Amino acid sequence: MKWIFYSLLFALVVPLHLLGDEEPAKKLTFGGFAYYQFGQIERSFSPDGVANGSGQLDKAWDQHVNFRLTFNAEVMKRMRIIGGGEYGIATFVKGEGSPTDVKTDFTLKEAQGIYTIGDFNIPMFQAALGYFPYKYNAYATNLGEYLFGYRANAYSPYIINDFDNCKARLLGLRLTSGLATRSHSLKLDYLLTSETKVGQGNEANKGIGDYTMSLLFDDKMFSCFDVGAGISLYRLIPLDQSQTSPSTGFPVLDARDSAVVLANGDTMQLTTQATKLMLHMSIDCKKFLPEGFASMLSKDDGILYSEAVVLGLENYGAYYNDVLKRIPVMVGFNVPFFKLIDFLSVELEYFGWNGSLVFIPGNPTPSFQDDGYLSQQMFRWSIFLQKTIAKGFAVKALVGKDHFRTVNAGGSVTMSEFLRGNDNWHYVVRFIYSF
Amino acid sequence: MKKTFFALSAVFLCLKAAFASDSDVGVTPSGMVYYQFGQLVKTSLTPNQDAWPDKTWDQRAVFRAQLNARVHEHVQINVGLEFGMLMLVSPPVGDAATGSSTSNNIVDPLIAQGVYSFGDDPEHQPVRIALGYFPFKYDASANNMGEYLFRTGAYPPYIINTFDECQARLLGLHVTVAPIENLNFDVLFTNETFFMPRGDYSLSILGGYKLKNILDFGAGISLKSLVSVDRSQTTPRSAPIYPDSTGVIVGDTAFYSFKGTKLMGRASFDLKGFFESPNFFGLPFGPNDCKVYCETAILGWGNPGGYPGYFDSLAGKWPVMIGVDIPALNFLDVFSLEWEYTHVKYDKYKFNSTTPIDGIGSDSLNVNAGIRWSLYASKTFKNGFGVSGILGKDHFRPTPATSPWPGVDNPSQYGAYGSEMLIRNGDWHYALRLSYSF
Repeated sequence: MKWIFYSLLFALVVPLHLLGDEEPAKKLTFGGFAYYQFGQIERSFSPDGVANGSGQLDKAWDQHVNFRLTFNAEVMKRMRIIGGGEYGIATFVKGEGSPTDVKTDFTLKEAQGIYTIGDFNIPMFQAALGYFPYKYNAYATNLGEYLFGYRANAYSPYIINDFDNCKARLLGLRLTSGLATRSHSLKLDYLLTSETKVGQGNEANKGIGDYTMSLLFDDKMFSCFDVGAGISLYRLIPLDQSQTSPSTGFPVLDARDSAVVLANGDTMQLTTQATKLMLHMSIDCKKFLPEGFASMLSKDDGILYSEAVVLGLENYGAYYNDVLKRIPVMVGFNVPFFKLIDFLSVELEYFGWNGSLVFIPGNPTPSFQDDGYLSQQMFRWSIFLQKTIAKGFAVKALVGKDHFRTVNAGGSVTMSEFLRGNDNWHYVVRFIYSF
Repeated sequence: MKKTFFALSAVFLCLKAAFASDSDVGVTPSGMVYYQFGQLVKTSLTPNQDAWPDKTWDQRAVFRAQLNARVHEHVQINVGLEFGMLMLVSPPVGDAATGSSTSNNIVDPLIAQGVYSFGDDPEHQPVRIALGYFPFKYDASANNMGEYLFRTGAYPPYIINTFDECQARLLGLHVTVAPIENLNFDVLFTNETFFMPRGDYSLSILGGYKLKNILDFGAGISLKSLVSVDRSQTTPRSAPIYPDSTGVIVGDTAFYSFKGTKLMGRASFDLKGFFESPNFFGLPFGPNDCKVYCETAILGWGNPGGYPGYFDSLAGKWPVMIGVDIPALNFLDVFSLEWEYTHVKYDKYKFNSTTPIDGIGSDSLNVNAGIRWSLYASKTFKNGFGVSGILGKDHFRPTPATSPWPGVDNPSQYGAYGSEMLIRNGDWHYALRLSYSF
């Protein structure tokens, strides 16, 4: 499989040699932002079970100061290079006498070269290589974007939300082909990406580097409908089989009597490899309103959107015996605010997985220990607000019960979710200056 | 972090100067982004010898940005940074059920220097003074091996190779004098930032001459740790000198020191120079084709007492490199085969120790341990896209978590043993880099 990957890379090299530009157009622009963010976990789950009134991180305070710098160089008419990094200081105060956790970190946020034929935003053909942000659901502001391992895993299932970062960051190759007609704007993305570290600590390094192949399709119709679908062959090409599909330690159990399942005489083992399917759609309700009334709304108002992803198409024994329980479904709506704010989105999610959502890299075996939260954690909600106060200066805020995990300055997440009970919630506020 | 902060500050000063009103500053940006992957295919060391296991996969994505600002007719400021993400994936070792992986983000300064040039002719400036942190390469022909004067130690005599980075990064003062065309001298007074003893100052003098388009030769001397900032670090009192190879101490005890003198000589022949036209025989040779080059160095010369015991001969301290630029006829920019030999006495050195750690006179090594080779190729397309690759058995070392350069940035914490991984016949690695440059 690795030689297929090498061949694809070299197949990319040769056409790029032939498609040289005649006109250099060097232009370098800088961009970035700086922000101060604070938030608090008002009510979190209790490690002693739902019956215990004391949450593990009640009133914990989370604070961030970050600075990002990005370079955007138009090297040639069709060639662009983008790079940037972010430096941050994160402070987490757990309270109850626990020491304050302060971390400083630098992270690479983008390092890619982009070659485009046609319009940059709706290209006839575009190739990008490197490390880049990727978002397929344009309106999701907090929940959703489940397709990539950066945000959601299949075996064993987990979902990660990160405030104001509702996208994936992928390392590898992206090929895009687009076609715009009077009524349709079609886009096809092919991605060959290498899994990067998600999480903190050495354990989070398990399985990094594995290559995932994804194919996504999107069609914007009549300026009001948007439908998209995708398939992702997660960890299709493993770099180290022992980390991706261990040969021991993670047996597949039979649904009936918990006996191990045998394959050719050997105990069948669970794997972190998976096939994921995605469907998303949105509708701009303003198109159905009288023009005079619609003009009073901002461009993001009145958008109804949704997304569903199958986190692992294959069933394995007792643990993964119902694919319907591995499908998170998200619905969102941008509440009209008549241009008083940029937008306010309300999102709801249902994920029927009946096991733990603890994120343990490289471990495909789930836990079903019921601490009273397994049924309560199936429902999530979030309200996200953005308001631009002056040129470059904005305020963003979120309140909700989502898949919040504490993160350090560099964006690495902890393994546990803290908002699992019906009454669990948190809020975050960010003051940001962009340039 | 101090170097990073200094470089970041210089970047913003440059930006401020570039965008200031009524400014005559000309700022030229440049940079690149690359995706690189490679594999340590075979190594003779076992992981408990501080080595990666066979088939370890090395992958990275890096962005580099540099600004060159001409703030005055004679003054230029160059600043640059590098951001990256490194990943290593190793298969299971021994009876272990699973392998291991590491991932880290890095940020490092690329360059942070001010340059003052004398002379009005930009094509020929007789004197040039640079101060700061800068890359330095004296052998234009070397593609992977060589560049011994600054990529080696004296005591112990380690050698470092880095894929697609056949140069050193130095901090200090650099004076270039070019009294006549094709003749130049470099004087460097540099501060050691990466390897022990950090902070010490070294003085280096190099000279080079180009004879028409045929011959390019040079020589140099480097007085490592000429000025010590902490004598206890320069000459640690932890490794006494053994007067003979059996470990018997006779007489007064003396101590090994990092301080040492390195000598270097190099030559490069361009066979195209013997013909009237570079395209002799009607073949479209590239500028780097048909070259034969060599470099040698003595790593630790003329110490009092001859440093008996570990370093009482030139064995292991005298590398010789020969390279050939195989004609690629412009299909490739560079296609070079390099071969190096040094009589190996020890195969393991600690960057923070003056002595080897595998014992005196290791008999387990054979002559093949001293043979290194590498095949390097690169091609840059007109749209800025580039491809480069290497395979070989060179002085490949673990890359620490905090820097893309082997053994640097924190040598006492990671890669402290600085083990060479490619020692015996059959050991080899490869790497491929895809890049966009502007």
